[in-house]
Amino acid sequence: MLVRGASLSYVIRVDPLVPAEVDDPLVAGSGFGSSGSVLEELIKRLAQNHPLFKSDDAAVSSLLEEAVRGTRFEATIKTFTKRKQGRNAYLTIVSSHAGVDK
Amino acid sequence: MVFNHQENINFFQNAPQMGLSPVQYACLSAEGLATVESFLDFEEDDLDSAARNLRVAIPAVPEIMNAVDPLLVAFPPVPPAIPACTMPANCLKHLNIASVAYHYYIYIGREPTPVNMNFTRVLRGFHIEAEAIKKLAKQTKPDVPVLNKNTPPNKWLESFRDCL
Repeated sequence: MLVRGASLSYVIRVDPLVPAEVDDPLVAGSGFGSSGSVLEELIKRLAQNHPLFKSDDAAVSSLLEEAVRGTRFEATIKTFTKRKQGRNAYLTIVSSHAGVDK
Repeated sequence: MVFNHQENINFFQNAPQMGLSPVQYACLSAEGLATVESFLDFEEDDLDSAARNLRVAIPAVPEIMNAVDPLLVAFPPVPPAIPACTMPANCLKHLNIASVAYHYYIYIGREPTPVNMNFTRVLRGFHIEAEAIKKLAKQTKPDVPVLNKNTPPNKWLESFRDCL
């Protein structure tokens, strides 16, 4: 299925909410809005309250766990990786170690 | 309801759209795909099954009268007979693309409409992108970059996004 083959990037997008269709209408003659492509549209608009989000969130969590294993960053996200919350773990790394004030 | 009766007929029967004949459309309706909204229950495998089923005619079942009182109907008739027909490959391809597009719109919180389900103007281009995404998904993803002293978080974030 197209949707399941889409990038996991939608899990870590900044805004968890999907914009209303009125605010983000489709570009005439295409299947996407302001995102500019079908792939970007999936990343921007796939709902994070969908039943399959949980498994995607867990997949991101596993990738993050692999990335920080044995490093000083591991402790920062341990709470979230234990609960398989990839999105929260990612946002924690961003805010703790890669924020604008870092 | 976004698609009215006439729009559904136009969608399934107009040549640039699904291009089904009235008989093929009637047969497909008997399989459960009568409206655009029915795509919710029809994915690629289901469409293949429906196309296979269309090749077999289903005869009408006549009424069965009560054995004791011949004026009473024991079992009502099951009309009408469904004729056998074939589904051209081109139509089946269009239906598959429309099904993928329909599910895509639902997943991204957009309502499928006669405008965004137009095959010539939208779905043809959508199909090209959808196929590219499917190929991309099959490609081997790069290894997860390790976050360490040599790769600070700012640089690591960019490469991490690439492996998702």
